[in-house]
Amino acid sequence: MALTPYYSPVDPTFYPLFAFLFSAVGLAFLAVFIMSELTSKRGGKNIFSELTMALVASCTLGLGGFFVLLSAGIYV
Amino acid sequence: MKIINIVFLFLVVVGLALSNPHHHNTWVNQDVQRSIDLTTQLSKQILSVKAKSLVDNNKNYQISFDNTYHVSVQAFDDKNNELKVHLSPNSINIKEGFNTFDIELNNKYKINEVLSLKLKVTLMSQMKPYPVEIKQGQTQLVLYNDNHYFTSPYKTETQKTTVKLASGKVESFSEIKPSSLKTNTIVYGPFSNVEAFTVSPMRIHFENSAHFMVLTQLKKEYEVSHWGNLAVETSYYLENQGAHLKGPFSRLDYQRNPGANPSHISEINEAVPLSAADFYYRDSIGNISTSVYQYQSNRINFKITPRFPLMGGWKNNFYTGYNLPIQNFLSVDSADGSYHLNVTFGVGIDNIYVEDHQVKIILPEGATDIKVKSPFPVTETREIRKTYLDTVGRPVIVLNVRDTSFENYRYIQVTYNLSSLSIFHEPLLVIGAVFTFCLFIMFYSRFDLSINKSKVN
Repeated sequence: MALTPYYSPVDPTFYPLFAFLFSAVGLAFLAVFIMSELTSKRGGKNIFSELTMALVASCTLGLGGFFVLLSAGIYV
Repeated sequence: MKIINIVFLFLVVVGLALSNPHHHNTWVNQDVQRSIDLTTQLSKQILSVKAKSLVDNNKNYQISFDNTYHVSVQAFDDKNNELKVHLSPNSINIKEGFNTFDIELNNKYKINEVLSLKLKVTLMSQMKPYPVEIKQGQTQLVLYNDNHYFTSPYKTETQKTTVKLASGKVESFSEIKPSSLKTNTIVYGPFSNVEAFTVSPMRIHFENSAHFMVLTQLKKEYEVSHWGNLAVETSYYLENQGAHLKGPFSRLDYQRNPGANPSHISEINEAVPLSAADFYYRDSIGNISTSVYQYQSNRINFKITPRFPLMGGWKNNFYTGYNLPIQNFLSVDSADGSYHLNVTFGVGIDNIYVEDHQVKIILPEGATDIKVKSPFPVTETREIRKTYLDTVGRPVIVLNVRDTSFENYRYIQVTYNLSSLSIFHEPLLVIGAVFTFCLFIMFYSRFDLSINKSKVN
């Protein structure tokens, strides 16, 4: 039995930086996604490319929101 | 069949009663040296006991206290290893009016073999202010009640008690031959051949200007996050249980000479781990005006100065909190991947007495196989708490103990298992929420909500 200290998967000093980066990039992706959704003509939509864009936007913005919580001191 | 069962049960009970290992002639105390420190609100006693075994295979030593006493006991053997102490399960049968504790010895003692033990005993609330009310500026006198003799279920051959008082101003003390008072020390004994459970009331009335700082309730919460944080929040229900203040409180007199009323509490100092950060405090009545964190070489000193000094009988409720880095408190076992959390039980306030002590440990969601290891007996219950980004709720361990003092500084260990993927549960929830929003937009953009039909080319 060997005990080693447990470290967080991400160093907590990076939380504010990650919060900013992921939120900024995520918001940009989400903006692009919404723009393309609302401007593209009906019939001219490709569900796979839409889902890919939605996934990229939600992953980045989701992580951004998560790191915002962590950096604000709400340790979940 | 039933009758046979009952007869069998009866035989077992009789057999147990006859073979009761807790009869009182398993040891004889050859020599007991007791020193009692009465310089604070607590009675801190150090006892060195030499006892001779009267039977073979002797693995259990017992000590007793009057059952009205609030007591904490720590026992060490001659190699300074701590021994397990717990209230004897048949304490009531041993002697009425006494609480008898079992000390589990590390090895078995043969007949005539001599055991040497060191006991650290803390008696709480044995010192009472007398008179119970004093005016501002008067000094506090206290009355201490104890036993002249070492209370033991065994016969004691020789014993001596030394009492160190907070001051040399002694109004009176119970005299028993031989006893002597020199400045601030009273020596009782040596006494020889005292029978088991002999009680001779010791009463000392003397001046003690120590703070009678009592936490009538203490609630401490640890919240474990595998994202690198251990959040600590402590609720204090503080009361000055010294002599109550008679008449009005004069701020002018107090400000002119704060030292004239030595038993009041003007500030509260707590030792906080050096790695703590993000401090906060709140209180219910707006009494606290100043709080300061002083960085020292081995700790942070958290000092609260209430706006009003806490005079005798006055109370104050507040709570404080801070964050600690998880790596100093949580370890992972490389063999089976289990987690080990080590946290202190109470608050780092010197000579504090806690009446109702509660510790809550909030583990991450999905923790299983939770085990608690405590160096002293605690009452353990479980509950579930839902906070941010939780689905099924986090397991909460609630530990309750009454009447603690030195236990405050002791560590409890919590062991649990947690899947290494479960820490990604929370970010996935946020990602899922954003993705649901995106799906809603896709769904919405496929609907035509315009009033006029758009032309189809």
